[in-house]
Amino acid sequence: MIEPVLFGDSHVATYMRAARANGVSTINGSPLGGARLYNEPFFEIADGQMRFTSAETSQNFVLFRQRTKIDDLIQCRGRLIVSMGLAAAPFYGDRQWQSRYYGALPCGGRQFVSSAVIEQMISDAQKPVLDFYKAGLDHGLIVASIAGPPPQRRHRAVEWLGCDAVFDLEARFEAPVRQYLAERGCPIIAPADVVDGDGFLREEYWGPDWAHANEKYGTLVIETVLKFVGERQPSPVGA
Amino acid sequence: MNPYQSLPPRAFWKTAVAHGDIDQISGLGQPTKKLERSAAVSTAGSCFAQHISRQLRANGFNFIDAEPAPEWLIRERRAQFGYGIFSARFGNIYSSAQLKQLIQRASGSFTPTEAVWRTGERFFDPFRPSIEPNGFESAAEVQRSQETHLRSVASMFKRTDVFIFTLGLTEIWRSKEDGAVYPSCPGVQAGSFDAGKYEFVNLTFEQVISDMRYVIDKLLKIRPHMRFIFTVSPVPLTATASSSHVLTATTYSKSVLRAVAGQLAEQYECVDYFPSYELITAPVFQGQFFDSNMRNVRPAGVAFVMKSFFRDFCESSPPAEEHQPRSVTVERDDEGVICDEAVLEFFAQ
Repeated sequence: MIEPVLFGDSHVATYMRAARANGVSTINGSPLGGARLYNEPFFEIADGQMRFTSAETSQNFVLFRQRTKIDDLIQCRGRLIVSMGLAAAPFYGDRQWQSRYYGALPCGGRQFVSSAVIEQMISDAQKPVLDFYKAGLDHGLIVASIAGPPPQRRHRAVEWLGCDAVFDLEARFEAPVRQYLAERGCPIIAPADVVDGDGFLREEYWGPDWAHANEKYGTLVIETVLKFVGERQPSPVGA
Repeated sequence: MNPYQSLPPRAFWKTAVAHGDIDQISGLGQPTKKLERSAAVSTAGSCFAQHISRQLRANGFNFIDAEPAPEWLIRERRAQFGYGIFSARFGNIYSSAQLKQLIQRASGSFTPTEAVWRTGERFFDPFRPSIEPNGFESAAEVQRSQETHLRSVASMFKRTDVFIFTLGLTEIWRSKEDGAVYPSCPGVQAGSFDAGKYEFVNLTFEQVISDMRYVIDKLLKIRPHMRFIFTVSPVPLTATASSSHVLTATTYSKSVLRAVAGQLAEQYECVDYFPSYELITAPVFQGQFFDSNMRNVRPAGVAFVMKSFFRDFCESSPPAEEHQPRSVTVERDDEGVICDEAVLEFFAQ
Protein backbone atom coordinates (compact mmCIF):
# COMPACT_ATOMS: atom_id res chain seq x y z
CA MET A 1 0.00 0.00 0.00
CA ILE A 2 1.31 3.46 -0.84
CA GLU A 3 1.76 6.04 1.90
CA PRO A 4 -0.11 9.00 0.52
CA VAL A 5 0.86 12.63 0.88
CA LEU A 6 -2.01 15.09 1.10
CA PHE A 7 -1.19 18.46 -0.39
CA GLY A 8 -2.92 21.65 -1.38
CA ASP A 9 -5.46 24.09 -0.01
CA SER A 10 -6.68 24.88 3.48
CA HIS A 11 -8.98 21.84 3.64
CA VAL A 12 -5.86 19.68 3.90
CA ALA A 13 -5.34 21.18 7.36
CA THR A 14 -8.66 19.69 8.48
CA TYR A 15 -7.86 16.33 6.94
CA MET A 16 -4.42 16.12 8.50
CA ARG A 17 -5.74 17.15 11.90
CA ALA A 18 -8.30 14.36 11.59
CA ALA A 19 -5.57 11.90 10.62
CA ARG A 20 -3.57 12.83 13.71
CA ALA A 21 -6.64 12.70 15.96
CA ASN A 22 -7.40 9.21 14.67
CA GLY A 23 -3.82 8.02 15.08
CA VAL A 24 -3.38 7.50 11.34
CA SER A 25 0.37 7.66 10.81
CA THR A 26 0.42 6.26 7.27
CA ILE A 27 -0.81 9.48 5.75
CA ASN A 28 1.62 12.38 5.49
CA GLY A 29 0.79 15.86 4.31
CA SER A 30 0.17 19.50 4.90
CA PRO A 31 -1.57 22.37 3.18
CA LEU A 32 0.59 24.77 1.23
CA GLY A 33 -1.82 27.65 1.55
CA GLY A 34 -5.34 28.93 1.01
CA ALA A 35 -7.05 28.44 -2.34
CA ARG A 36 -6.40 32.01 -3.47
CA LEU A 37 -2.66 31.23 -3.77
CA TYR A 38 -3.42 28.91 -6.66
CA ASN A 39 -5.23 31.48 -8.79
CA GLU A 40 -1.88 32.85 -9.96
CA PRO A 41 1.19 30.99 -11.24
CA PHE A 42 2.79 29.43 -8.17
CA PHE A 43 5.20 26.67 -9.16
CA GLU A 44 7.68 25.47 -11.73
CA ILE A 45 9.55 22.28 -12.39
CA ALA A 46 13.13 22.87 -13.40
CA ASP A 47 16.28 20.75 -13.17
CA GLY A 48 14.21 17.87 -11.84
CA GLN A 49 12.89 19.88 -8.88
CA MET A 50 9.52 21.39 -8.11
CA ARG A 51 9.85 24.92 -6.83
CA PHE A 52 7.15 27.19 -5.51
CA THR A 53 7.59 30.51 -7.14
CA SER A 54 5.14 32.97 -5.64
CA ALA A 55 6.23 34.70 -2.47
CA GLU A 56 3.60 33.08 -0.26
CA THR A 57 3.82 29.53 -1.62
CA SER A 58 7.60 29.70 -1.43
CA GLN A 59 7.45 30.84 2.17
CA ASN A 60 4.77 28.30 3.09
CA PHE A 61 6.69 25.45 1.49
CA VAL A 62 9.36 25.90 4.16
CA LEU A 63 6.67 25.12 6.74
CA PHE A 64 5.35 22.26 4.60
CA ARG A 65 8.85 20.80 4.46
CA GLN A 66 9.34 21.08 8.22
CA ARG A 67 6.04 19.38 8.88
CA THR A 68 6.24 16.58 6.31
CA LYS A 69 10.03 16.08 6.04
CA ILE A 70 9.52 16.13 2.27
CA ASP A 71 12.08 18.38 0.61
CA ASP A 72 10.68 18.23 -2.88
CA LEU A 73 7.28 17.09 -4.14
CA ILE A 74 9.11 15.31 -6.92
CA GLN A 75 9.98 12.74 -4.24
CA CYS A 76 6.26 11.94 -3.92
CA ARG A 77 6.01 9.89 -7.08
CA GLY A 78 2.78 7.92 -7.08
CA ARG A 79 1.81 9.24 -3.62
CA LEU A 80 0.44 12.73 -4.01
CA ILE A 81 -3.25 13.36 -3.31
CA VAL A 82 -4.14 16.93 -4.09
CA SER A 83 -6.90 19.16 -2.72
CA MET A 84 -6.92 22.04 -5.15
CA GLY A 85 -9.39 23.64 -7.54
CA LEU A 86 -12.34 21.64 -6.21
CA ALA A 87 -13.41 23.90 -3.37
CA ALA A 88 -15.45 26.75 -4.76
CA ALA A 89 -16.41 28.65 -1.60
CA PRO A 90 -13.93 31.48 -2.27
CA PHE A 91 -15.61 31.99 -5.64
CA TYR A 92 -19.32 31.70 -4.90
CA GLY A 93 -18.78 33.29 -1.49
CA ASP A 94 -16.88 36.33 -2.69
CA ARG A 95 -18.39 39.65 -1.72
CA GLN A 96 -18.64 40.51 -5.41
CA TRP A 97 -21.91 38.56 -5.45
CA GLN A 98 -23.44 40.90 -2.92
CA SER A 99 -23.52 43.66 -5.53
CA ARG A 100 -23.79 41.54 -8.66
CA TYR A 101 -26.03 38.93 -10.16
CA TYR A 102 -26.02 36.65 -13.15
CA GLY A 103 -28.29 34.42 -15.21
CA ALA A 104 -31.96 34.74 -14.45
CA LEU A 105 -31.55 35.71 -10.79
CA PRO A 106 -33.54 38.72 -9.64
CA CYS A 107 -31.60 41.92 -10.19
CA GLY A 108 -32.25 43.55 -6.82
CA GLY A 109 -30.41 46.70 -7.86
CA ARG A 110 -27.25 44.70 -8.52
CA GLN A 111 -24.98 44.77 -11.57
CA PHE A 112 -25.31 42.00 -14.13
CA VAL A 113 -22.37 39.72 -14.90
CA SER A 114 -22.50 37.80 -18.17
CA SER A 115 -21.80 34.11 -18.54
CA ALA A 116 -18.78 34.93 -20.69
CA VAL A 117 -17.29 37.08 -17.94
CA ILE A 118 -17.94 34.35 -15.37
CA GLU A 119 -16.28 31.77 -17.63
CA GLN A 120 -13.31 34.07 -18.09
CA MET A 121 -12.94 34.63 -14.35
CA ILE A 122 -13.01 30.89 -13.72
CA SER A 123 -10.73 30.06 -16.61
CA ASP A 124 -8.08 32.52 -15.43
CA ALA A 125 -8.42 31.48 -11.78
CA GLN A 126 -8.20 27.75 -12.51
CA LYS A 127 -5.41 27.88 -15.09
CA PRO A 128 -2.55 27.64 -12.57
CA VAL A 129 -4.39 24.79 -10.83
CA LEU A 130 -4.73 22.93 -14.12
CA ASP A 131 -1.07 23.58 -14.83
CA PHE A 132 -0.20 22.03 -11.47
CA TYR A 133 -2.36 18.96 -12.10
CA LYS A 134 -0.84 18.57 -15.55
CA ALA A 135 2.69 18.79 -14.22
CA GLY A 136 1.90 16.46 -11.32
CA LEU A 137 0.26 13.89 -13.59
CA ASP A 138 2.94 14.16 -16.28
CA HIS A 139 5.61 13.50 -13.66
CA GLY A 140 3.66 10.62 -12.15
CA LEU A 141 3.28 12.32 -8.78
CA ILE A 142 -0.47 12.62 -8.42
CA VAL A 143 -2.65 9.59 -7.77
CA ALA A 144 -5.88 11.35 -6.88
CA SER A 145 -7.57 14.58 -6.04
CA ILE A 146 -9.89 15.36 -3.13
CA ALA A 147 -13.15 17.24 -3.63
CA GLY A 148 -13.68 20.12 -1.27
CA PRO A 149 -16.55 20.01 1.21
CA PRO A 150 -19.98 20.83 -0.25
CA PRO A 151 -21.46 24.28 0.43
CA GLN A 152 -22.94 25.00 3.82
CA ARG A 153 -26.49 26.25 4.08
CA ARG A 154 -25.39 29.01 6.46
CA HIS A 155 -22.98 30.51 3.91
CA ARG A 156 -23.68 34.19 3.23
CA ALA A 157 -23.76 33.47 -0.51
CA VAL A 158 -26.99 31.53 -0.01
CA GLU A 159 -28.63 34.71 1.21
CA TRP A 160 -27.16 36.76 -1.64
CA LEU A 161 -27.73 34.36 -4.51
CA GLY A 162 -30.04 31.57 -3.37
CA CYS A 163 -29.32 27.85 -3.17
CA ASP A 164 -29.50 27.06 -6.86
CA ALA A 165 -27.01 29.77 -7.83
CA VAL A 166 -24.55 28.67 -5.15
CA PHE A 167 -24.59 25.12 -6.49
CA ASP A 168 -24.46 26.40 -10.05
CA LEU A 169 -21.44 28.61 -9.39
CA GLU A 170 -19.77 25.76 -7.51
CA ALA A 171 -20.29 23.45 -10.48
CA ARG A 172 -19.09 26.07 -12.98
CA PHE A 173 -15.99 26.80 -10.92
CA GLU A 174 -15.01 23.15 -10.55
CA ALA A 175 -15.95 22.08 -14.09
CA PRO A 176 -12.60 22.74 -15.80
CA VAL A 177 -10.70 20.80 -13.13
CA ARG A 178 -13.19 17.95 -13.00
CA GLN A 179 -13.13 17.69 -16.77
CA TYR A 180 -9.34 17.67 -16.93
CA LEU A 181 -8.98 15.09 -14.17
CA ALA A 182 -11.55 12.87 -15.92
CA GLU A 183 -9.62 13.17 -19.19
CA ARG A 184 -6.44 12.11 -17.41
CA GLY A 185 -8.13 9.29 -15.52
CA CYS A 186 -7.34 10.85 -12.15
CA PRO A 187 -9.92 9.86 -9.52
CA ILE A 188 -11.57 12.41 -7.25
CA ILE A 189 -11.95 11.29 -3.66
CA ALA A 190 -15.07 12.46 -1.82
CA PRO A 191 -16.73 10.95 1.25
CA ALA A 192 -20.23 9.65 0.69
CA ASP A 193 -23.43 10.60 2.50
CA VAL A 194 -22.35 14.01 3.83
CA VAL A 195 -25.09 16.21 2.36
CA ASP A 196 -28.69 16.90 3.27
CA GLY A 197 -31.66 16.57 0.96
CA ASP A 198 -30.84 19.88 -0.75
CA GLY A 199 -27.19 19.05 -1.32
CA PHE A 200 -25.71 21.17 1.47
CA LEU A 201 -23.09 19.82 3.82
CA ARG A 202 -24.90 18.36 6.82
CA GLU A 203 -24.66 20.57 9.88
CA GLU A 204 -22.81 17.92 11.89
CA TYR A 205 -19.85 18.45 9.54
CA TRP A 206 -19.75 22.24 9.66
CA GLY A 207 -16.38 23.64 10.65
CA PRO A 208 -15.45 26.85 12.41
CA ASP A 209 -16.53 28.95 9.44
CA TRP A 210 -18.85 28.72 6.44
CA ALA A 211 -16.14 27.50 4.10
CA HIS A 212 -14.48 24.69 6.03
CA ALA A 213 -15.67 21.39 7.40
CA ASN A 214 -14.84 19.97 10.83
CA GLU A 215 -12.62 17.09 11.89
CA LYS A 216 -15.57 14.72 11.83
CA TYR A 217 -15.80 15.39 8.11
CA GLY A 218 -12.02 15.20 7.94
CA THR A 219 -12.20 11.74 9.47
CA LEU A 220 -14.53 10.64 6.69
CA VAL A 221 -12.07 11.99 4.12
CA ILE A 222 -9.18 10.17 5.79
CA GLU A 223 -11.18 6.93 5.85
CA THR A 224 -11.98 7.40 2.16
CA VAL A 225 -8.33 8.07 1.37
CA LEU A 226 -7.25 4.95 3.27
CA LYS A 227 -9.85 2.90 1.43
CA PHE A 228 -8.69 4.36 -1.87
CA VAL A 229 -5.01 3.60 -1.31
CA GLY A 230 -5.86 0.16 0.08
CA GLU A 231 -7.66 -0.77 -3.09
CA ARG A 232 -5.22 0.83 -5.43
CA GLN A 233 -2.46 -0.76 -7.49
CA PRO A 234 0.85 0.95 -6.72
CA SER A 235 1.21 2.89 -9.94
CA PRO A 236 0.66 6.53 -10.74
CA VAL A 237 -2.22 7.63 -12.94
CA GLY A 238 -2.14 9.72 -16.03
CA ALA A 239 1.60 9.33 -16.57
CA MET B 1 -2.16 101.85 -30.15
CA ASN B 2 -4.01 99.07 -31.98
CA PRO B 3 -5.62 96.04 -30.30
CA TYR B 4 -2.77 93.70 -31.26
CA GLN B 5 -0.17 95.71 -29.41
CA SER B 6 -1.50 94.70 -26.01
CA LEU B 7 -1.82 90.99 -26.75
CA PRO B 8 0.39 88.37 -25.02
CA PRO B 9 3.05 86.40 -26.91
CA ARG B 10 0.70 83.39 -27.23
CA ALA B 11 -1.43 85.44 -29.60
CA PHE B 12 1.34 85.73 -32.21
CA TRP B 13 2.51 82.88 -34.44
CA LYS B 14 6.07 84.15 -34.38
CA THR B 15 6.41 84.10 -30.59
CA ALA B 16 4.02 81.26 -29.82
CA VAL B 17 4.83 78.74 -32.54
CA ALA B 18 7.53 79.68 -35.03
CA HIS B 19 10.39 79.29 -32.54
CA GLY B 20 10.08 75.55 -33.28
CA ASP B 21 10.61 74.38 -29.70
CA ILE B 22 7.55 72.24 -29.18
CA ASP B 23 8.08 72.04 -25.44
CA GLN B 24 7.63 75.80 -25.31
CA ILE B 25 4.30 75.63 -27.12
CA SER B 26 1.89 75.90 -24.24
CA GLY B 27 -1.31 77.50 -23.08
CA LEU B 28 -3.29 76.44 -26.13
CA GLY B 29 -6.32 75.99 -23.97
CA GLN B 30 -7.41 78.30 -21.21
CA PRO B 31 -10.24 76.84 -19.16
CA THR B 32 -12.67 79.06 -17.37
CA LYS B 33 -12.19 76.84 -14.34
CA LYS B 34 -9.38 74.41 -13.67
CA LEU B 35 -10.17 70.82 -12.81
CA GLU B 36 -9.92 70.20 -9.08
CA ARG B 37 -8.69 66.86 -7.90
CA SER B 38 -11.66 66.50 -5.63
CA ALA B 39 -14.15 66.99 -8.47
CA ALA B 40 -15.94 63.83 -9.52
CA VAL B 41 -14.91 63.33 -13.14
CA SER B 42 -16.49 61.06 -15.70
CA THR B 43 -15.25 60.41 -19.21
CA ALA B 44 -16.65 59.08 -22.46
CA GLY B 45 -15.88 59.35 -26.12
CA SER B 46 -13.94 57.85 -28.97
CA CYS B 47 -10.86 55.70 -28.59
CA PHE B 48 -8.56 58.65 -27.90
CA ALA B 49 -10.64 59.40 -24.80
CA GLN B 50 -9.35 56.17 -23.27
CA HIS B 51 -6.02 57.87 -22.69
CA ILE B 52 -7.68 60.67 -20.73
CA SER B 53 -9.49 58.17 -18.49
CA ARG B 54 -6.31 56.23 -17.82
CA GLN B 55 -4.25 59.31 -17.05
CA LEU B 56 -6.85 60.86 -14.77
CA ARG B 57 -7.01 57.67 -12.78
CA ALA B 58 -3.25 57.29 -12.64
CA ASN B 59 -2.81 60.86 -11.48
CA GLY B 60 -5.14 60.61 -8.54
CA PHE B 61 -8.19 62.39 -9.85
CA ASN B 62 -11.59 61.50 -8.49
CA PHE B 63 -12.47 59.34 -11.46
CA ILE B 64 -15.94 57.81 -11.45
CA ASP B 65 -16.15 54.14 -12.34
CA ALA B 66 -19.90 53.61 -12.21
CA GLU B 67 -19.77 50.12 -13.68
CA PRO B 68 -16.67 48.49 -12.21
CA ALA B 69 -15.37 45.07 -13.18
CA PRO B 70 -16.24 42.09 -11.01
CA GLU B 71 -13.42 41.53 -8.55
CA TRP B 72 -12.63 38.05 -9.86
CA LEU B 73 -12.02 39.31 -13.38
CA ILE B 74 -8.27 39.77 -13.45
CA ARG B 75 -6.90 43.20 -14.35
CA GLU B 76 -5.48 42.04 -17.67
CA ARG B 77 -8.94 40.99 -18.85
CA ARG B 78 -10.95 44.01 -17.79
CA ALA B 79 -10.38 46.23 -20.80
CA GLN B 80 -11.09 43.26 -23.06
CA PHE B 81 -14.60 43.20 -21.59
CA GLY B 82 -15.00 46.97 -21.65
CA TYR B 83 -14.50 47.51 -17.94
CA GLY B 84 -12.52 50.44 -16.55
CA ILE B 85 -11.90 52.09 -19.91
CA PHE B 86 -14.43 54.86 -19.38
CA SER B 87 -16.62 55.81 -16.46
CA ALA B 88 -19.14 53.17 -17.45
CA ARG B 89 -19.06 50.22 -19.79
CA PHE B 90 -20.00 52.34 -22.83
CA GLY B 91 -17.53 51.09 -25.36
CA ASN B 92 -16.50 53.89 -27.66
CA ILE B 93 -18.96 56.73 -28.16
CA TYR B 94 -17.85 58.28 -31.41
CA SER B 95 -20.61 60.71 -32.25
CA SER B 96 -22.77 63.39 -30.69
CA ALA B 97 -25.83 61.42 -31.80
CA GLN B 98 -24.63 58.38 -29.86
CA LEU B 99 -24.07 60.44 -26.71
CA LYS B 100 -27.47 62.07 -26.99
CA GLN B 101 -29.08 58.69 -27.48
CA LEU B 102 -27.28 57.24 -24.45
CA ILE B 103 -28.70 59.99 -22.26
CA GLN B 104 -32.16 59.43 -23.71
CA ARG B 105 -31.94 55.71 -23.08
CA ALA B 106 -30.59 56.17 -19.55
CA SER B 107 -33.42 58.56 -18.74
CA GLY B 108 -36.02 56.27 -20.30
CA SER B 109 -37.10 58.67 -23.02
CA PHE B 110 -35.97 56.43 -25.88
CA THR B 111 -36.11 52.67 -26.22
CA PRO B 112 -34.71 51.30 -29.47
CA THR B 113 -36.90 48.73 -31.16
CA GLU B 114 -33.90 46.58 -32.09
CA ALA B 115 -32.16 45.91 -28.78
CA VAL B 116 -30.23 42.73 -29.61
CA TRP B 117 -28.20 41.52 -32.56
CA ARG B 118 -27.67 37.84 -33.18
CA THR B 119 -24.58 36.52 -34.93
CA GLY B 120 -24.57 32.72 -35.16
CA GLU B 121 -25.26 31.37 -31.71
CA ARG B 122 -24.12 34.50 -29.88
CA PHE B 123 -25.93 37.71 -29.03
CA PHE B 124 -24.59 41.27 -29.13
CA ASP B 125 -25.55 44.66 -27.78
CA PRO B 126 -25.98 46.81 -30.94
CA PHE B 127 -24.96 49.87 -28.95
CA ARG B 128 -21.88 48.29 -27.36
CA PRO B 129 -20.90 45.52 -29.78
CA SER B 130 -17.33 45.25 -28.51
CA ILE B 131 -17.84 44.95 -24.75
CA GLU B 132 -18.25 41.18 -24.90
CA PRO B 133 -15.68 40.01 -27.44
CA ASN B 134 -17.54 36.80 -28.21
CA GLY B 135 -21.00 38.10 -27.51
CA PHE B 136 -23.51 37.14 -24.87
CA GLU B 137 -24.99 33.71 -24.27
CA SER B 138 -28.58 34.84 -24.81
CA ALA B 139 -30.75 37.78 -25.76
CA ALA B 140 -31.88 37.94 -22.12
CA GLU B 141 -28.25 38.41 -21.06
CA VAL B 142 -27.89 41.34 -23.47
CA GLN B 143 -30.99 42.96 -22.03
CA ARG B 144 -29.89 42.46 -18.42
CA SER B 145 -26.49 43.90 -19.24
CA GLN B 146 -28.17 46.90 -20.90
CA GLU B 147 -30.33 47.46 -17.82
CA THR B 148 -27.27 47.44 -15.58
CA HIS B 149 -25.41 49.71 -17.97
CA LEU B 150 -28.14 52.31 -18.32
CA ARG B 151 -28.70 52.34 -14.56
CA SER B 152 -24.95 52.88 -14.10
CA VAL B 153 -24.93 55.69 -16.66
CA ALA B 154 -27.79 57.45 -14.87
CA SER B 155 -25.98 57.07 -11.57
CA MET B 156 -22.74 58.33 -13.11
CA PHE B 157 -24.30 61.54 -14.41
CA LYS B 158 -26.00 62.21 -11.07
CA ARG B 159 -22.57 62.16 -9.43
CA THR B 160 -20.52 63.92 -12.10
CA ASP B 161 -18.99 67.34 -11.43
CA VAL B 162 -16.97 67.43 -14.65
CA PHE B 163 -17.82 65.45 -17.77
CA ILE B 164 -15.03 65.06 -20.30
CA PHE B 165 -16.19 64.00 -23.74
CA THR B 166 -14.05 63.38 -26.79
CA LEU B 167 -15.85 63.87 -30.09
CA GLY B 168 -14.63 61.43 -32.71
CA LEU B 169 -16.77 61.21 -35.85
CA THR B 170 -19.59 62.79 -37.76
CA GLU B 171 -20.28 59.63 -39.76
CA ILE B 172 -22.92 57.41 -38.21
CA TRP B 173 -25.08 54.41 -39.05
CA ARG B 174 -28.64 54.43 -37.86
CA SER B 175 -31.85 52.49 -38.00
CA LYS B 176 -34.30 53.61 -40.64
CA GLU B 177 -37.11 52.43 -38.41
CA ASP B 178 -36.58 54.46 -35.25
CA GLY B 179 -33.38 56.43 -35.80
CA ALA B 180 -31.36 54.39 -33.30
CA VAL B 181 -27.66 55.20 -33.75
CA TYR B 182 -24.97 52.52 -33.69
CA PRO B 183 -21.30 52.97 -32.85
CA SER B 184 -20.30 51.05 -35.96
CA CYS B 185 -21.91 49.87 -39.13
CA PRO B 186 -24.09 46.79 -38.55
CA GLY B 187 -22.17 43.75 -39.76
CA VAL B 188 -18.72 45.15 -38.97
CA GLN B 189 -18.29 44.20 -35.30
CA ALA B 190 -21.56 42.29 -34.95
CA GLY B 191 -24.99 41.99 -36.48
CA SER B 192 -25.53 41.89 -40.21
CA PHE B 193 -25.93 44.66 -42.70
CA ASP B 194 -29.27 45.22 -44.37
CA ALA B 195 -29.56 48.27 -46.60
CA GLY B 196 -33.30 48.17 -46.09
CA LYS B 197 -32.93 48.60 -42.34
CA TYR B 198 -29.90 50.81 -41.85
CA GLU B 199 -28.70 54.05 -43.36
CA PHE B 200 -25.53 56.07 -43.41
CA VAL B 201 -25.60 59.68 -42.25
CA ASN B 202 -22.78 62.18 -42.19
CA LEU B 203 -23.85 64.66 -39.52
CA THR B 204 -23.81 68.33 -40.30
CA PHE B 205 -22.61 71.13 -38.05
CA GLU B 206 -26.24 71.92 -37.19
CA GLN B 207 -27.01 68.34 -36.26
CA VAL B 208 -23.92 67.93 -34.09
CA ILE B 209 -24.39 71.19 -32.24
CA SER B 210 -28.07 70.41 -31.72
CA ASP B 211 -27.15 67.01 -30.23
CA MET B 212 -24.54 68.56 -27.98
CA ARG B 213 -26.88 71.31 -26.80
CA TYR B 214 -29.39 68.61 -25.91
CA VAL B 215 -26.65 66.80 -23.95
CA ILE B 216 -25.59 69.90 -22.05
CA ASP B 217 -29.11 71.07 -21.26
CA LYS B 218 -30.26 67.61 -20.18
CA LEU B 219 -27.24 67.00 -17.97
CA LEU B 220 -27.50 70.43 -16.36
CA LYS B 221 -31.05 69.52 -15.37
CA ILE B 222 -29.72 66.37 -13.71
CA ARG B 223 -26.69 68.07 -12.14
CA PRO B 224 -26.98 71.88 -12.31
CA HIS B 225 -23.36 72.67 -11.48
CA MET B 226 -21.89 70.15 -13.91
CA ARG B 227 -19.01 71.39 -16.04
CA PHE B 228 -17.95 70.04 -19.43
CA ILE B 229 -14.63 69.64 -21.14
CA PHE B 230 -14.96 68.78 -24.81
CA THR B 231 -12.12 67.60 -26.96
CA VAL B 232 -11.81 66.36 -30.53
CA SER B 233 -9.99 63.15 -31.24
CA PRO B 234 -6.93 63.72 -33.44
CA VAL B 235 -7.21 60.19 -34.82
CA PRO B 236 -8.23 60.23 -38.49
CA LEU B 237 -11.10 58.13 -39.80
CA THR B 238 -10.16 54.54 -40.45
CA ALA B 239 -12.67 54.45 -43.31
CA THR B 240 -15.39 56.63 -44.70
CA ALA B 241 -18.77 55.63 -46.04
CA SER B 242 -19.19 59.03 -47.65
CA SER B 243 -18.26 59.30 -51.29
CA SER B 244 -15.21 61.35 -50.35
CA HIS B 245 -11.58 60.37 -50.08
CA VAL B 246 -10.89 59.27 -46.51
CA LEU B 247 -8.52 62.21 -46.04
CA THR B 248 -11.03 64.84 -47.04
CA ALA B 249 -13.73 62.97 -45.11
CA THR B 250 -11.48 63.19 -42.06
CA THR B 251 -11.02 66.90 -42.57
CA TYR B 252 -14.78 67.37 -42.82
CA SER B 253 -15.48 65.35 -39.66
CA LYS B 254 -12.80 67.00 -37.58
CA SER B 255 -13.64 70.48 -38.85
CA VAL B 256 -17.29 70.13 -37.90
CA LEU B 257 -16.48 68.66 -34.50
CA ARG B 258 -13.84 71.27 -33.79
CA ALA B 259 -16.17 74.08 -34.78
CA VAL B 260 -18.98 72.69 -32.63
CA ALA B 261 -16.70 72.31 -29.61
CA GLY B 262 -15.44 75.86 -30.09
CA GLN B 263 -18.89 77.31 -30.44
CA LEU B 264 -20.19 75.48 -27.36
CA ALA B 265 -17.24 76.78 -25.35
CA GLU B 266 -18.10 80.30 -26.52
CA GLN B 267 -21.79 79.94 -25.75
CA TYR B 268 -21.77 78.07 -22.45
CA GLU B 269 -19.88 79.28 -19.39
CA CYS B 270 -19.82 75.68 -18.16
CA VAL B 271 -18.05 74.37 -21.28
CA ASP B 272 -14.32 74.39 -22.00
CA TYR B 273 -12.57 73.14 -25.09
CA PHE B 274 -9.34 71.20 -24.63
CA PRO B 275 -7.25 71.23 -27.83
CA SER B 276 -6.04 67.63 -28.03
CA TYR B 277 -6.75 67.78 -31.77
CA GLU B 278 -4.38 70.71 -32.35
CA LEU B 279 -1.73 69.31 -30.01
CA ILE B 280 -1.32 66.30 -32.28
CA THR B 281 -2.21 67.49 -35.76
CA ALA B 282 -0.92 71.06 -36.02
CA PRO B 283 1.69 71.46 -38.81
CA VAL B 284 4.29 72.65 -36.32
CA PHE B 285 4.46 69.10 -34.93
CA GLN B 286 5.21 67.76 -38.40
CA GLY B 287 3.25 64.58 -37.86
CA GLN B 288 5.81 63.32 -35.36
CA PHE B 289 3.13 62.17 -32.95
CA PHE B 290 1.60 59.81 -35.47
CA ASP B 291 2.69 56.25 -36.02
CA SER B 292 3.99 55.23 -39.43
CA ASN B 293 0.42 54.73 -40.68
CA MET B 294 -0.16 58.44 -39.94
CA ARG B 295 -3.26 57.50 -38.00
CA ASN B 296 -2.42 55.93 -34.65
CA VAL B 297 -1.09 58.35 -32.07
CA ARG B 298 2.28 57.36 -30.61
CA PRO B 299 2.70 57.16 -26.81
CA ALA B 300 4.85 60.30 -27.02
CA GLY B 301 1.90 62.14 -28.55
CA VAL B 302 -0.44 60.95 -25.83
CA ALA B 303 2.09 62.03 -23.21
CA PHE B 304 2.40 65.46 -24.87
CA VAL B 305 -1.37 65.94 -24.87
CA MET B 306 -1.78 64.81 -21.28
CA LYS B 307 1.11 66.96 -20.09
CA SER B 308 -0.66 69.92 -21.62
CA PHE B 309 -3.97 68.84 -20.07
CA PHE B 310 -2.56 68.57 -16.57
CA ARG B 311 -0.56 71.80 -16.91
CA ASP B 312 -3.26 73.99 -18.44
CA PHE B 313 -6.53 72.43 -17.31
CA CYS B 314 -5.88 71.03 -13.87
CA GLU B 315 -5.02 72.33 -10.45
CA SER B 316 -1.31 71.92 -9.92
CA SER B 317 -1.50 70.77 -6.33
CA PRO B 318 -0.18 67.28 -5.64
CA PRO B 319 -2.75 64.58 -5.14
CA ALA B 320 -4.41 64.68 -1.75
CA GLU B 321 -3.89 61.53 0.24
CA GLU B 322 -7.45 60.41 -0.25
CA HIS B 323 -7.06 60.87 -3.98
CA GLN B 324 -3.90 58.89 -4.49
CA PRO B 325 -4.09 56.73 -7.60
CA ARG B 326 -6.77 54.20 -6.95
CA SER B 327 -6.52 50.60 -7.67
CA VAL B 328 -8.76 49.49 -10.48
CA THR B 329 -9.31 46.38 -8.46
CA VAL B 330 -11.23 45.86 -5.33
CA GLU B 331 -9.28 42.84 -4.22
CA ARG B 332 -10.98 39.61 -3.41
CA ASP B 333 -12.46 39.66 0.01
CA ASP B 334 -12.41 37.81 3.30
CA GLU B 335 -13.26 34.40 1.88
CA GLY B 336 -9.57 34.19 1.05
CA VAL B 337 -8.64 35.36 4.51
CA ILE B 338 -10.71 32.57 6.06
CA CYS B 339 -8.67 30.02 4.12
CA ASP B 340 -5.39 31.69 5.03
CA GLU B 341 -6.34 31.58 8.69
CA ALA B 342 -7.14 27.89 8.50
CA VAL B 343 -3.70 27.18 7.06
CA LEU B 344 -1.86 29.43 9.51
CA GLU B 345 -3.60 27.74 12.40
CA PHE B 346 -2.45 24.37 11.10
CA PHE B 347 1.15 25.53 10.72
CA ALA B 348 1.08 26.98 14.23
CA GLN B 349 0.12 23.65 15.82
